[in-house]
Amino acid sequence: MKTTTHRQTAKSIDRDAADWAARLDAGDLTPDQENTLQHWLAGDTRRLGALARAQALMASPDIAEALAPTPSRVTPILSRRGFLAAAAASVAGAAYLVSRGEHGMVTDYASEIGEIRVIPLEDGSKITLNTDSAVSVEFRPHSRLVRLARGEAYFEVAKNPDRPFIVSGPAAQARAVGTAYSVRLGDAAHMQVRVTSGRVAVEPPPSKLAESLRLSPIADNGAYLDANQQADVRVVGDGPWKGQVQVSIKDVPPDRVERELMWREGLLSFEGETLGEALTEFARYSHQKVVAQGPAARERVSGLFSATDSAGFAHAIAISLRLKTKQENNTIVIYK
Amino acid sequence: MSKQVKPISTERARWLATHVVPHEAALRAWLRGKGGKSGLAFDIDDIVQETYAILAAKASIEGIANPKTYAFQVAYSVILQQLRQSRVVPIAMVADIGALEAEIEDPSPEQTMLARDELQRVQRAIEALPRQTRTAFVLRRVEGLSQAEIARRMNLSEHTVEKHIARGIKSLMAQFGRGGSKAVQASQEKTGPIEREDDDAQTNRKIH
Repeated sequence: MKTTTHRQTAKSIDRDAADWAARLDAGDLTPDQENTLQHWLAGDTRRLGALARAQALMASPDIAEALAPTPSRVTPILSRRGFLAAAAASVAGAAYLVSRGEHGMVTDYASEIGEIRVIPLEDGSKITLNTDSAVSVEFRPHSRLVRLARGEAYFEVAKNPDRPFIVSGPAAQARAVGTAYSVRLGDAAHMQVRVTSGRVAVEPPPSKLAESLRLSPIADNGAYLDANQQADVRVVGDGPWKGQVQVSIKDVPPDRVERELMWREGLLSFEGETLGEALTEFARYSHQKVVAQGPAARERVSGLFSATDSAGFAHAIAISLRLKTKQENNTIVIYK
Repeated sequence: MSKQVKPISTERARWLATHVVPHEAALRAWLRGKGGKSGLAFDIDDIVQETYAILAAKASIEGIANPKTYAFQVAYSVILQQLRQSRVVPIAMVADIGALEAEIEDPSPEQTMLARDELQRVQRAIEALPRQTRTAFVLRRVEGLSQAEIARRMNLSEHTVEKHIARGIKSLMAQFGRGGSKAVQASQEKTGPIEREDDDAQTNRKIH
């Protein structure tokens, strides 16, 4: 074995390896390049290792996650823009409306209180509308646009990198190429995005100018969400940040995500929520009013219940927690 | 040398990414500890490169039940090989592979912490990159666009995008795995023959 006096440093090998990794990542090598690479690799055993490490770092999902802008903290993303013109267009009943959009056909879907609707889309994607919710869907040549006008919906997106799937709310949008996630609108422009698989970008809606120039949809100030993460988008109402849109991201345990998506089966699942919180949730699904009085509202409830049967819930919970119920006008009152 | 050396397959890269990369910081910390204890000079970067080279060249990875232990064993064998070539083997270095396994058993809480540190380091390194490099790199890794798509979207030549990607990879390679000194302490505290002697003594007592 020949001993060479000049041994390449590990650092210098790393730099060459990075160049090769980028070259290989760009596409197939020419025969010439193939030869050069062979030569380079054969020159020192460490080179294959450095190249393998470079490619592994490029393939690491953890690193991709670390690169995604915005970790778990609150970031102002933009000043408010009146984006959701469709918010006013609430459609009564379960019927849907077809109208001519700017770029193609717009279809409106809505669900009634207590109704869960599954809407298969022409691209193979699926929308599950929760109670009292409305969306309008527009397929454009380079994007699939869904405007969530009210309520909550769960999206299972057929993968198509050339045609991102964008769900927009009043202050932000959630963009995906192929994934599953839910979006829920609260009051005062609050929007909640929850991802069950894949990755979703939560970002400001594109400006009209950027849209007309077909500029890159990637926003410098967006945030990326992975599976089992939740983003809450709010418009700041007061203080120096008034009017700014804020996104805060947090991790949600997978079992909790699954549990809170039980509404797709028409079920509500509780695990230690207060009775008051549970009733607020039931109120979304039914016209039957149920209230808890005084200390009864602070009792903890657990179990799986039919979302549309709030009266049944009231009686079941009263029995199991040793509470009483009474009927007052149209309202069921739970009390101690 | 007639054997062809080939770059790794996508599957192998993915396997390394999920099974070896997460342990690299711990491996480096352990190597630092080994180097310190034995008073022996070896280049950690060299050992890491050789370790990846062996894992890359392995025909099959199917039999590897515990990739972390395996990577440490490979690194250890690389050190031993270098020692044999240098013909001076300090006593402290010669431990059996079985003891090695005990040394590196489970990721301790410290190591989990370290992993988070590690990702923060990566984050800072990427944030420190020039804007265009960062954008190109994020489009590639986070958005999953191809280099050609990035070139189109950023209105750059594919060659320029490749340069940006290379720069991003360089920064990753230079930063990754080199964080904090906590793991050194952790692994040194965890090992040590004294603890094992105590265990033996206790077992003996029970038998008596």
